[in-house]
Amino acid sequence: MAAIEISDLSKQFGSVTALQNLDLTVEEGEVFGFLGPNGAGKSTTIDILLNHVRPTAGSARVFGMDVQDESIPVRERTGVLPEGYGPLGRMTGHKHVEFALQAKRADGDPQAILDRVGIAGAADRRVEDYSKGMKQRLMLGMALAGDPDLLVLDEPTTGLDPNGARRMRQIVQAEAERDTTVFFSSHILEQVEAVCDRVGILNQGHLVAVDTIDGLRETAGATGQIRVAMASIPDGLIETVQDRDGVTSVAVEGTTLVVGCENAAKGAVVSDCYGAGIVEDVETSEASLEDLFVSYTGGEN
Amino acid sequence: MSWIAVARKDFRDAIRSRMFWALAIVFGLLSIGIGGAYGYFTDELAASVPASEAGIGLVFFVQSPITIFIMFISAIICHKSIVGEWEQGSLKLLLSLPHTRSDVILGKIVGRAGVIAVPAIGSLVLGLGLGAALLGGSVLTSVDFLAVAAGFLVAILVYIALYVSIFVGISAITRSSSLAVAGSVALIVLQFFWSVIIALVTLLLDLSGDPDWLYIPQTIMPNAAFNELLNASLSAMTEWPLSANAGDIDAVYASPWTAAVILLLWIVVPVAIGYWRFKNADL
Repeated sequence: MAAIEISDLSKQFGSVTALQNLDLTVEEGEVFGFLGPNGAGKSTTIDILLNHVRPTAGSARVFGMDVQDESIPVRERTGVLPEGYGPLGRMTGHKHVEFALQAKRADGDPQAILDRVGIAGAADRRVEDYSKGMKQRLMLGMALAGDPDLLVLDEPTTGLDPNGARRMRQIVQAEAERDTTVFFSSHILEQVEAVCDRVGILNQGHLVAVDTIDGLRETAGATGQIRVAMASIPDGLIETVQDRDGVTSVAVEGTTLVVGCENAAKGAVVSDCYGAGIVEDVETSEASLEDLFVSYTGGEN
Repeated sequence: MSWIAVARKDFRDAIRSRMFWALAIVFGLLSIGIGGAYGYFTDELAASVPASEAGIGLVFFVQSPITIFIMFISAIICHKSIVGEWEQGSLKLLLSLPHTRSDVILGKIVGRAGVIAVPAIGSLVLGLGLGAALLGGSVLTSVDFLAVAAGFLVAILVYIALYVSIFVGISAITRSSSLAVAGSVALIVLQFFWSVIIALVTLLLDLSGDPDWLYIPQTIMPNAAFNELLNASLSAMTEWPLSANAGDIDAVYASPWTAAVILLLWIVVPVAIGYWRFKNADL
């Protein structure tokens, strides 16, 4: 059974489309990275999984349970580190973890959990006095309470120093070894790269790519970009280039044609340009994983 | 049953705030001040009436300012209970755990009612005790007084539940803190001017001789319904004649039961609308 099964999910906030026809399956035991720039719809997807937000169309299931009709059983098996969670209460860190354990109806030692996230020493301090990083660690502790089968981490490294980020990664890896499914959202590529089996890239509510890190690397290696500066862009050239096999994107910057394509298609693209007008300069480059992410997400990060 | 956990957290968070201690102290001073003043200034008068009557006089002297104070305090403590946490994002945290939205609303009502009830009951016991002691030895031990005082404390708990439920309901209905403030203030203002409004309308419509059905609008606001019910209940417990609106009206509906139904509707309806809005809302 899939841990997360999202089918044809759409969400409209007034006139703003946050998600459009999202299809996504995350298998049990998988560490899935959910990438995308801010505002791409990552948090909306997570909010729908937790029933904070109701979809306009489509459905989502967690461990086969409908996220709307069976939200409580879903959340009993899910540990969540939400994004932008607002001020915490005035209780101590210890009491907060206890509260999470109680809600999950789980036995567990709050102290051991706090130790695991590295704030055991602050257990009896009120959380309103915690630093941002300590709060984030506490949130992770609350997410881990009750040994969830699914961990949902929304931008988990926000506010963490490098040590904290490293501890977060180690915990994600340890959880993955225990066959916990991890759904990890981030706008920072390298964090996802370090821990995830597979990543999905979301942009403006659309899922633009789903692949393993290696698969993405291959795609990145095989594709490149070619920039052809011309005196002017002749009519019909864009269409001609677009129709070429291996061309994935065509954009115009001033009078420069920017074409994303497989390396093998570069020659044909250049000859198309020579055939149609005056070429002033040609630049070609291979894409890195970073470029790939940028090209998928329109370069606005 | 996870509303209990939500209520406990809400209560624990609240009693760790300075606001709570300020509330408890003001409550205590107010109650002791009013009760003490009554006992101190009317002890000679009280000596001339039966102890039970003097004690009941004390209860009614304390009732009016204390209930108004509770109404304001409930508004202050409850109007942001849902919408404020919604705006700040704290609700996402609460609802990421396996709590339902009804758990959250019920937990907030019970938690905040506790926050008000604990200092209220404590203060009233002190204030009524002091007042009764000052009135004279036999008042404090008069069975009638003790029964009325106990009945009054129960009534105060109902009153707290009433207003906490109303203001948490308003908080769940509205989609911004400022609207919640506006709604809460509007209700309080309407309470104060209700009898004036009724008088004006009666005048405008030229309703001579106060028709019987006027009992309904006169009793429809929460404070009016509460007072009507309190007076009727305490009258039934003692020989003390209490004026109730229903007193000299023959109509079937002019009874404390009507007031009880109105009170129940005030406890249930705003929060039911709030729950319905909140249940369907995107956080």
